[in-house]
Formats: sequence, structure tokens, C-alpha cells
Amino acid sequence: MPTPSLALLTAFLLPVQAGWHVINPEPPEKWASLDGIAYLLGGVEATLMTGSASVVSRIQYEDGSRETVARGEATNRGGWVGLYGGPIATGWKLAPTAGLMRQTVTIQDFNQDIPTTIPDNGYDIEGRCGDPDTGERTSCDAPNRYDLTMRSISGGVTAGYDLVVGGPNLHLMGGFRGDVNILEYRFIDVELANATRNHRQLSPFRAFGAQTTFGFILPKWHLAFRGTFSFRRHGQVDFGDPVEVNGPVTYDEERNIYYRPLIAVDRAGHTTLTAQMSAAILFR
Amino acid sequence: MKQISHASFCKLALMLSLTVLASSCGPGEEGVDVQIPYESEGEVHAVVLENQSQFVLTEIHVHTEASFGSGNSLQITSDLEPQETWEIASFTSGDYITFVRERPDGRAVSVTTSAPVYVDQANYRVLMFDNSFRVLLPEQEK
Repeated sequence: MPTPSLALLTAFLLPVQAGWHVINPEPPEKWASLDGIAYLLGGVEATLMTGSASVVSRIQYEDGSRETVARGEATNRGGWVGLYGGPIATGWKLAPTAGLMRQTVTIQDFNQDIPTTIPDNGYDIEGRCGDPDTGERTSCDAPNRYDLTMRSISGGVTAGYDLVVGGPNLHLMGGFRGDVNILEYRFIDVELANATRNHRQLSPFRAFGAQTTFGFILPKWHLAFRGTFSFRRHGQVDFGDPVEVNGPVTYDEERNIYYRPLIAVDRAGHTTLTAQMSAAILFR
Repeated sequence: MKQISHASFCKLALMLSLTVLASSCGPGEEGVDVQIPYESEGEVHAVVLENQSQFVLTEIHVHTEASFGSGNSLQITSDLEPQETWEIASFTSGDYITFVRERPDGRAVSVTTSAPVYVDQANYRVLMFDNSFRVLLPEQEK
């Protein structure tokens, strides 16, 4: 038998010989018991996340229509301490989630180029912008920097399919999940165009996501370690008081000029794609 | 085959160039090319400045050097609100214009013409937009 095939067969046989099998759920005898609560809650978990975020700011006009006024890609870092959300046994699972999250999203440039026009009865001269005190060249517009720090307390549900295999000492696990925050209380600190807003917001059904996760469990130690790829949408992050920024490039037909009208932005939303590392203490 | 004269060829080339130029203009670019009166440098005329920006202008300066701050003279004594005008009785053709306005973040920013402003008669209008200028010939509305 060729060596690679032998190695593959050994890799399959060794776990079987060691007593590895599919880990099936072991529901509690009584759900209304400490064991039942421990089964439902799973454990407590700490997560570090890093990745990218896509941020979109929109304004809503009086007629209800919405327009995107700023869009950009950002870095996203954060952490989460909450109930264990990873696989424990094979099968479909619906479980509650609760936890504290902190994340930062930073974009340094929302700038747009402004096209030029040719006037009918004159000529245009481009402006050079500077600091009136020092004479140094500066950006004509305020730097559309978007700095968001959001802390939140949330509770929700997660549902998905898990696969867990292993023996008495080690379980390997994987799965995919979807989740939604039913209720979330947000502490929002946002800096947009150098204006700062601090806002508190109760947000029902404003965040949802999907994850795929892989890791291992040390059942005798009640410990779990996993890596997760997560897609998450945080909608309607309100600023409280609107922030005045340069809007999208607009053509003024009467004056024959392109410009960026000043607009008031009162909220943003962001979508994050993150890689996460988690460590958990399991209750059962 | 009939020979095309040099003059006819130039006319044809000019017509073709104008056609291409006209067809390449997008929205708002259908203007005509106005000759900038460079030869007027040093002449002194009255000009009307018009605040067409979205901001209150706190200062307006006229200066001979390209960089703002080199021997500039202050032209207004109070803020110039949007749509308000200010007349400079003696503007020297070839000078630069700078205005100072607020940015949305509250910081002041100066906006200086990147080239000298040339005027060869009185009552040119200089429109000051957020980040640029437009010099308009006298007695024409736009």
C-alpha cells in the first residue's frame, strides 16, 4: 500500500481505535433545573475579533427617501464576553445569547473628487486651501474621518447546525450559525468630521449575523477553544445630534457648478467581516 | 484628385476639433472659451466679490504673491454672509484673492486663487465658491 494512503487510513483508524465517535446531545433530565440552565446557556466565553468593516451613512429626506452620503472601508477590532455560542454536540441548536461587546471602526477618508465646469462668460480658478494662521496647505473640506467606538449589552438568539466528534479527552467541533440581537443597549461614541457625539440607544432587532466556526473542546477540563469567521450587520447606529458633513457631489444647474452641499448626518450602519478567537469555560 | 489647400485643411481640422470638443462636453460643460486678459496685468479696476459658498467668509485678502500671507491686505471689516457681495474699488489685475471661511468641523481654512486674477475693465464679478473661484465678465448675468 502506498505511504500516503497508509497515512490517511491511519489518521482515520487511530481516532476510531481511541474511541472517537459523533458527540450527540445529552439533554438534561429536568429542564427546570440547574443542569437544564447550564445546558441552555452552554458556558461563558471571551472573544477577540479583528477584521474589516464597511460603513455607510445615509440621510432620510422628508418624503421618506434615503440617500447614501458617505461610504468607506474601515478596520474593525473588538471583543465580546458572553454566553458560549459554539458547538457542544452534533445537531441543530437554538440557544439564547447574551453578552457585552466592544468594537471600534475607523475610516480616515470619505473624500470625493469634484468635477470642474466651464462657465459661459468667464473663467474658473481653482482654489488652494491652507491654514490661515500658518499658511500650510490643508484639505479644503474637513477630513471626513469616521471613528466609532460602540459598546453594547445585548441579548438574543442563535440557531444553526453543529458537528462534534471526539473521544473522552478531546472533541473536535465545527458548525455554522445565524443570530440576531433581540434587544441591545448601545453606548455610542462617534467622531465624524471632527465633531464628537456620545449617544445611548436602545436598539431592538438592529444587529444580526452569520458565523462559521471550528475548534476543539477539552471535556474533562470544561474548556473550549475555537476560531470563527463572522459576518455581522449593525444597523441604525444613531448619533443623537446630527453631525454636519460634506455630502455627495451635486451639480447645480443654475450656477453651472459641482459642489458638495453641507448635510446633517444623524446615523450610520456598518457591516463587519471578522476573524475571531475565543476561549470558553463550559458549564457541563 | 483635387488637391486640398493648406488653408482649407486648417479650416477642416478646426471644425473637426470644435465638433469633438462640443460632443465631449458633459452636463455643465457647455461653456465657451473666454480669453483671459493677461495683458491687463497691473491695470487697476473695480471688481465685485460675491460669496457663492455655503459658508460665512470671515476675511478676504488681496495679495501680489501666490502664497497667502505675503503682504496681503484685508478687504472686509465684517463677515460676508452667503450671497452677499463686496466691492473692491481698486483691484490690481494680476493679484491673487484669498478668503477665509469655516470648515464643517469649525476650523478656519483659507482658500487662495491658484492663479492670478486678471481683469481688463471695471465691474468684473468674482464668485467665491466653497473651494474655487469664477471670474465673470461685466454686465452679463449667469
